[in-house]
Amino acid sequence: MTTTAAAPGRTENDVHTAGRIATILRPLGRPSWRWYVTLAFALAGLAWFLHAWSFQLQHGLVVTGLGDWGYAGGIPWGFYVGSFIWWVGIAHGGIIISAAVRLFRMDAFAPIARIAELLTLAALINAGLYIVIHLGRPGRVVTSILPNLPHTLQTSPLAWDVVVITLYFVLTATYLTLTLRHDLRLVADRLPRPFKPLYRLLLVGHRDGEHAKAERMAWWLALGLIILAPFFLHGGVIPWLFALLPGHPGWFGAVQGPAFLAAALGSALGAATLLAYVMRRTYRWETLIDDRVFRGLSRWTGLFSLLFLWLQLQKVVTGLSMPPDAIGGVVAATVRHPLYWVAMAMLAVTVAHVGFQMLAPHRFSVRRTAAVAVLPLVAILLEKYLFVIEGLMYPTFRLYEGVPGTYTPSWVELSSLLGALSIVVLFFLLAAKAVPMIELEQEETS
Amino acid sequence: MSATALGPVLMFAIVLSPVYLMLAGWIFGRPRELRLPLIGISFLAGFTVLAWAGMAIFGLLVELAYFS
Repeated sequence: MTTTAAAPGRTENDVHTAGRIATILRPLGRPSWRWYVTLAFALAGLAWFLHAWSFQLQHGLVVTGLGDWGYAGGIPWGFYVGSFIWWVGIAHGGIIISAAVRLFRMDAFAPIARIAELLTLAALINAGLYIVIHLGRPGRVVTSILPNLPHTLQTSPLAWDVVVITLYFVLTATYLTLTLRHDLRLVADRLPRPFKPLYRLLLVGHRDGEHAKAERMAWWLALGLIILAPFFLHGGVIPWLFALLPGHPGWFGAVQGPAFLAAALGSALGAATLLAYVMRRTYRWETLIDDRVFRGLSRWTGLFSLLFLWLQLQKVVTGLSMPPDAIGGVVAATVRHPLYWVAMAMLAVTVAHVGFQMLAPHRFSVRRTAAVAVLPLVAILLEKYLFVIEGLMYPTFRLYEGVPGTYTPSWVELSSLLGALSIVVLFFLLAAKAVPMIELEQEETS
Repeated sequence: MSATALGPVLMFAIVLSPVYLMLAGWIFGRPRELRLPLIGISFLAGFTVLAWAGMAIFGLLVELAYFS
């Protein structure tokens, strides 16, 4: 190792590492006018959502037609529950990316590991928010669910869901904290002052020699998460909310686990691609988040989109060939709905785009890859919305058959989507100003 | 297996099993030391309290503002 081109006492490697760390810390600097404009739009979106939610709190869930059996053709669950599944899927996929980087040494994705972890936290906040909104009175989350948990945990998938969402949030936040502690200590003198109280909390009990143990603990935590998230959460408890209800043929069945998981990973990889693109473009991170990251993300997004399409094929063929009446009814209704085909077409384009890039690698484009990443995100939201309402519209026992009306998401429900997206934007605007968005240690070792 | 017995077995024996594995790895894994695992467990407990206490306070505020 030579020191000829570097300052006295510093190797070229030191200078190179210092340069990379300075690039990683670029977002921590003074906010640009673009940051303030984005902040203003996000706050406006959040304010509109709070106005809509306040309207619902004043007048009740009647403004949506949801709750009990509603007045919307017997649809007590609707856009809120569909959106909950969507956000929780994005959350699960986000942490799987990060855990895979640590466990399987997928170093190509190391630069987006922390972005994926933060995406998980933001998406989980929104998933929890949708449960709260859907319950009508937010206080019920604590007063109704917690005291009854020892009893409801026996048989209710809803109670299991509350436990695993809490568990997942806690594990992800702890994972992020463990991996952040070393980075925060390493660049303590370059961190912005307004967040000092946060750093003090995250660095509680920190000692300089703890990094090896912290890394090992993060490894064990990643192992736990990579077993939990795909097999027991988005391939387990979340689909069991629906798959264990034989009265709803559109929901019932073992296929929901794999289908939910494929949807979660496809949409999460799409979201991670978009975020990585925005971060790279905003902070001129072409050398940190290079084209290989987008090629890899694109392939995995395409793979899980293809898997989801294949599972849809299974559902449609078995539901239309010679099905029992109840299953035939719900599948026939699904394939008659134009939105279903819009969603399937979006996923097909996602898969075709991967094929195109593999056949013509010289035509690869990061910008086009980011644009195509929107497709699985929108497609899975549409599919989950249809999954929820059509599962309710075609029950075995015709429980809600006499309920008049039809269901269309109200302006209040649609406003929640704007609010949730604004929360993600606000979360990342603040996170980018508070912590290094790329792990310094993983960046050094990759 | 009856439906009544499924919940506790599912949650405590299956779903939480990776968490038990993780905690065992923290405590018994190398490098062997207990201080940081205890800090890690404190974070787990702290984030749990933060999530539910935050929810309780938010719920109370909404109850006072809209339903009192």
